[in-house]
Amino acid sequence: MLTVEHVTKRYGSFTALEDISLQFTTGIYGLLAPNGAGKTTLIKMLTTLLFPTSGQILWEGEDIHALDEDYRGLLGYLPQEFGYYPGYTPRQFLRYVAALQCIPRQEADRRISGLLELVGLSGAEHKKMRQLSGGMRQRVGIAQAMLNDPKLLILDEPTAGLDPRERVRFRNLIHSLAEDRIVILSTHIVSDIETIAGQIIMLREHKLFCCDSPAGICGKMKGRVFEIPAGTALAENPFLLSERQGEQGTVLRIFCDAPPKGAVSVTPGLEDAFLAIYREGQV
Amino acid sequence: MRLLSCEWSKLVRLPALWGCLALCLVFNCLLIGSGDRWRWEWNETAAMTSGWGPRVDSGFLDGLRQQPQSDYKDYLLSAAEGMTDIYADYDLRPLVDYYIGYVKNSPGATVLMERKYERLAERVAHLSQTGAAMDWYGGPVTHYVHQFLYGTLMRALLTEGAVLGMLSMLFLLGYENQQRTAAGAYASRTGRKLCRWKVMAGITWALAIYLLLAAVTLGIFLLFWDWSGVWGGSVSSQFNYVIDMLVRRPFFTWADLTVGSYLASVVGLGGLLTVVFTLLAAVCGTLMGNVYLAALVLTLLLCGGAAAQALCAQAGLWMGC
Repeated sequence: MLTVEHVTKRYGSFTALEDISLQFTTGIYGLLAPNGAGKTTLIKMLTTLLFPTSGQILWEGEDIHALDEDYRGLLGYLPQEFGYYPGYTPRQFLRYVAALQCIPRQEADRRISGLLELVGLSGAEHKKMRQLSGGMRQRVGIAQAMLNDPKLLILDEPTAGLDPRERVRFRNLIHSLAEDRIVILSTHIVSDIETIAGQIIMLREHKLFCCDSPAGICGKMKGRVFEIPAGTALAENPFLLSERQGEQGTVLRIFCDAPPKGAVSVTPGLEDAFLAIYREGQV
Repeated sequence: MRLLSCEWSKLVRLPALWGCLALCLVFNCLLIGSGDRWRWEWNETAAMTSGWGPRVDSGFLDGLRQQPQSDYKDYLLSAAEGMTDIYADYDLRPLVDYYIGYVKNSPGATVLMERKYERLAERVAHLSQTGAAMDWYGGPVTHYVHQFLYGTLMRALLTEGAVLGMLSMLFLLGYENQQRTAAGAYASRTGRKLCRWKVMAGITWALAIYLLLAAVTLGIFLLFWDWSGVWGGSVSSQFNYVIDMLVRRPFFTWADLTVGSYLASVVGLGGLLTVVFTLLAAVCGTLMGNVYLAALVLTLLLCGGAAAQALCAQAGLWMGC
């Protein structure tokens, strides 16, 4: 179990994260917040790349910095900007990562073959990384994060730059990997985690806003999300979530406490919750 | 060990490094070519004297006399016949007086200087006992060839080794940031200990590159210059001398070194210096974090060191070159 206890991170007078407390057990956690909310700072602290200014992060009750390599040995990490060596093939790059993870060579080769198969890169394992598409490289990134069969898998903005088909493929892959480990998936793209995350962590104003199931978060919005034809006169000024083309023209999706005249109550989605929580200017 | 080879492989895959290495070798070949003016003399001397041993004794002189008649043979013969044990009555006093006069304002330095020249006097007596002055080395052309080999070629080799070593080290230390793989690497089990492997890889690589440069350059040099008969002779032969403060002095060494062991020592010390410079780059690279900034600081440090030495010499605080 991974526990974050009252963690604060400051850079001089700027507070990137304040008093964050969380508990992670097996399953997928979606870390959902707009850019600049502190997702990457939290992830860098979880991966020992940054030290908290105050508070501590514990793995099975022990401080992760005290555990040092024992903790990092059970950690799989895909950074936000996944770097790669352009002149290496995926297999060569994964061999290098295996050396960094101190995985014996033969075992590493066996795992690399399995992972390349898993991420659908068996056919491209001898191509140079520079020749691969963004999606293929990202899959190499997932393979390198999985190389040590981690107990804790942290993926920072893993779907950035992927096309919709790659995104679906990625979601399915993560879902299959999450059976017996903690997966923390940081993103600002709601659809990435809406269907696969058991818990959603939301940060607002550099503090923990909520840690709940998607159903729980959406439940709090129930009876406050409506659809109304465009052009309908509204008594109060509701928050516009989105709009879509309906059979009778444009339909507005709005968030407000009292239903306007002619409005139809709809089931709120996670995207509605995200938009409502992070209204303009709220990070 | 695996990480060491992984780091080496990053350097092996760097075309610019091989390009630099090739340029250095081309430059060294040009340098070897520039010493051609002494090559005929050296090789001719070697052809006439090899086989008679490194020491000029009756056997050596007889062997030389049996060579076919030529002006050059007469020239070598007169040089060999005129050899005396210059260390037997070598007077160190002018040298001692000069240097002690230079540091007379510092009692500590004067004591050290006196001790040094006492030791040197012992060395001169020892060289006289061993008869080092009577070794032929390369005959009358020795001074020029020795200065060319060690003052020009080996100095170039050292500079090239140090520069390539420093560049390799900075490249390795900055590689993860440049490729944006630092976060992934430092979050692995190895973590920031990776830097230790990088420093070890950089040092061993620099040493290997220096030795490769030395082997190829000296190999090419020895291909065209016949040194086969001289390796066993003393490097302190009377034909080997240095010009110091416009005064001609014999080539003293603090240990008994043959021509071969002297070359090996210089190559070895060059390797050590390469390691020192590479470590300096490692310190700069680690402290600065940014590889370009580290390169700038390193350049300023090296140029600043030379400039400080020149300024100190001008101000009378340093003897200078």
